[in-house]
Amino acid sequence: MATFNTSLRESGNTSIIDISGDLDAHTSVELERAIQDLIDKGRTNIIINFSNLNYISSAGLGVFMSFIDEVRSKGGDIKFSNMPEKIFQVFDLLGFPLLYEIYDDEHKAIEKFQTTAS
Amino acid sequence: MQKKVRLTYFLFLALIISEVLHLAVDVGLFYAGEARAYLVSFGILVLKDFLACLSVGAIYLLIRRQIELHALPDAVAWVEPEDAFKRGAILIALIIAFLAVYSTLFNPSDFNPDEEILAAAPQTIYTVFKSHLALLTFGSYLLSLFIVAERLILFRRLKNTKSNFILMAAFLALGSVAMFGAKKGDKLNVLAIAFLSVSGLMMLVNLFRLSWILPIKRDEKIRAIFLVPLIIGGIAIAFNGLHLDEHFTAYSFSVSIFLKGVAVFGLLYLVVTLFSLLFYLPTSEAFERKSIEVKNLYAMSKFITDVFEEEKIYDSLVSYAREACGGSSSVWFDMYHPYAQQTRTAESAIASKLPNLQWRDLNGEYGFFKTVAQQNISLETIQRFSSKADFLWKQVAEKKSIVRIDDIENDVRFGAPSSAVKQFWKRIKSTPASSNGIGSIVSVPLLARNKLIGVLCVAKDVEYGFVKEDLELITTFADQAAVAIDNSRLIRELIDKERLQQELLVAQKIQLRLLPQSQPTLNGFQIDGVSYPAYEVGGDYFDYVQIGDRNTTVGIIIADVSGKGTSAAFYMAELKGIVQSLARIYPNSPKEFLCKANETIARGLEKASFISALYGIIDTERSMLHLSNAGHCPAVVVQGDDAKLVKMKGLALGLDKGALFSRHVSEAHIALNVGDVVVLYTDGVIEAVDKHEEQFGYERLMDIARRSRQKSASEIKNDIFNAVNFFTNDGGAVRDDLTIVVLKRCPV
Repeated sequence: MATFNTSLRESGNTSIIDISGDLDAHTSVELERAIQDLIDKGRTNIIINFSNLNYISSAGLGVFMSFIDEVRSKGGDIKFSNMPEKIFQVFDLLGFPLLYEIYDDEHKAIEKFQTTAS
Repeated sequence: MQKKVRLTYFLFLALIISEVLHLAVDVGLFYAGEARAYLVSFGILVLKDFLACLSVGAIYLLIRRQIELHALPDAVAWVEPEDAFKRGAILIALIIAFLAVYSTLFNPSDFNPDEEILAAAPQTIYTVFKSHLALLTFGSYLLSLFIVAERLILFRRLKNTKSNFILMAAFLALGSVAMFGAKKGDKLNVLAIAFLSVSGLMMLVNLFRLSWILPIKRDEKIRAIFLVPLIIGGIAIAFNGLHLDEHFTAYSFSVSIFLKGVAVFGLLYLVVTLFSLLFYLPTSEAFERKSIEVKNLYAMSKFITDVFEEEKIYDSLVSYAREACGGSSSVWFDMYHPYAQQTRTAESAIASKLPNLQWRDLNGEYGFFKTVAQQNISLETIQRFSSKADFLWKQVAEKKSIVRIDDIENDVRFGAPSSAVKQFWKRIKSTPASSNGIGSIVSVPLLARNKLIGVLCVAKDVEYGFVKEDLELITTFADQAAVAIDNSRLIRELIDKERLQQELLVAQKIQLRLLPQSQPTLNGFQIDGVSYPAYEVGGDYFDYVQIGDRNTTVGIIIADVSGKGTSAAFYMAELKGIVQSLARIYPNSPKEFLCKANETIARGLEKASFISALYGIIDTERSMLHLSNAGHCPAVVVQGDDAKLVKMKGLALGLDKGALFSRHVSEAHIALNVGDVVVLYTDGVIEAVDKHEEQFGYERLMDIARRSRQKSASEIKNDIFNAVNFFTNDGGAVRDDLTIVVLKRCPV
């Protein structure tokens, strides 16, 4: 059984979700709930930190697709950061860099959110 | 059967013959006595005793046979004690009435008191008849009593019970026989005294065998208490009021000893019975309850087998619990429906519209309770009660433990005043209706594998209605039922799973038919492909489309629908339709084809889904492959000794509605020489892992393609597939659907 965990951090107007383990069809439910909770609280500036993620399946990628329209329509965004090379390849192959902002470093993403806000 | 009937007739005949002879002797003696009574010889008296013994023996056997024949099949005692007492009381009354009527009709005084020296001094011939009638009626009655007593004494016999009784009866009989030939007024001889004393001692032993009393019902005991004194009184009246003692003696001295012994024993036994009945009466209710409990527990253990009808288990549980706690109690069972984690808010909203709902967790943390079976209480009453006592359900859901309220009227949880004086006032003022007729209640959770199934509520109209034993019993019922319900659910789950499995196999068959059934024959090209879903059905797809009329242009697609299983399979089927129709409309540019496909698919796909696809058009006349990639794994091209990945920009289908997609998707044009190999595949190949979690990866794929490049397309395909399998063999896994398509240009 693959293990997957999310943990939440806050930095000003931005919420950072650290994900670790394997993100697949089964574990994606947990990430869905984490993101939904943030949206429910009105926190739509979301950064997903991938630094500890081991594997992502297409169902895992679907999670971001299912929320991105709603988040953007509320003036927020979902940005990705700290992707391991292996994970980035999957995103790159499917063309996700065209749809999402992907940063090497989480701070750059936070800065981006702050500059957009001000 | 024949033999039994014949035996009965024989006994009857023996009785009649001995009785008639005996009567003849007595009548003869009477008339002789009129003349010279003192001439009665010892021989005649012995004859009389012998005939009397014969009669009594025949009567005894006849009655015993009748009782035995009419016994219920499984009645150890042959008789129901209460029924026997009832018949006994009626019978003795009839006998007394009959003999009394006889006496008043024919002769008020029976025997001549002055002539004690004579064996019999009946005053009239009617007296002689009366003696015989007395024996036939009252004597038979005493014998019946003796038989019934024997059966009751032998009930739940111990090792010596039977021999004790036989000894008593035998010594009594011996004592009687020892007095053969005696006449009225004779003293008992030494032998008879010895025998009778032993018999008397054995009586004391037998008197206290009363194990039949305990199991009979309380009502029956009460009735028996009234009936037994009637019988005792009847026997006493018969002996003293009707002088039957003297008639027995006149009939036969030795038989009279036996019958008197029987009467004494019978009376003593009845008296002991009476006292025992009185003594056991208070405890009989408890005993009865225990036996009902045992019976119910037994029945409960049987309903474990009722696994196919869960509803039946609820009903049984409710009725058993009610039986165990007394008929006046109200019992109902509330099923627990926990909320699923993702949909709890929605479920809570749906739940509020359901009927028979007792409690709903508004925070959406637990679930709701719904009444599914109830007895002796209406749903409205439960509803009214639950609206005041919702903490009860909440507590059961939270703590999964018994909740018990002894005095609802004065329970602080119901908002009752806490001071005793106020409580007292409230009690005086309140009417029973104010608490819906519920005085105390116990709610027991049904737990299976530490999961809450439901709650069994037992309510009584009185306060403090439950004792410790009640709780234990209800808990036992609840536990048993929980196991049964759990089993039932597991079995149903299993059946459902099996059915689902069957349907998935059908779906699998259908999906396999959506993949190419044969390879197209192309001038100068070999082509072969294979697809293995990770589960029964998958989201991988590959296909060939003939473009144009001749076999010169063929479209080839490989695609991977995001996600796995059934939903992916549906999109895969949809994709096939789109591919088959669009490929002919856009015969020249794979990019155009993909742009159009994206537009169509983006409309129908749900947000979280997307499809990666690689589409190529093979032009056999120019030996060209035109490729376009929508977010799919790059094709491997082996040319000469060199293998490389054809990387192209692109975006998976369904991610974007159109503009972004068409801006970024690109095309590649590859000229294929003889011996060149193109491998198309899905990420199942790349992402297959070995036991160290290392991925199969692009390098291994290119390597195997390069090494097998001399072989046919089918063989290359097999080589790749086998390589992936070998790689994952030892503790690794293919995580996704796996598809491989190989194209090779061969010499014409």
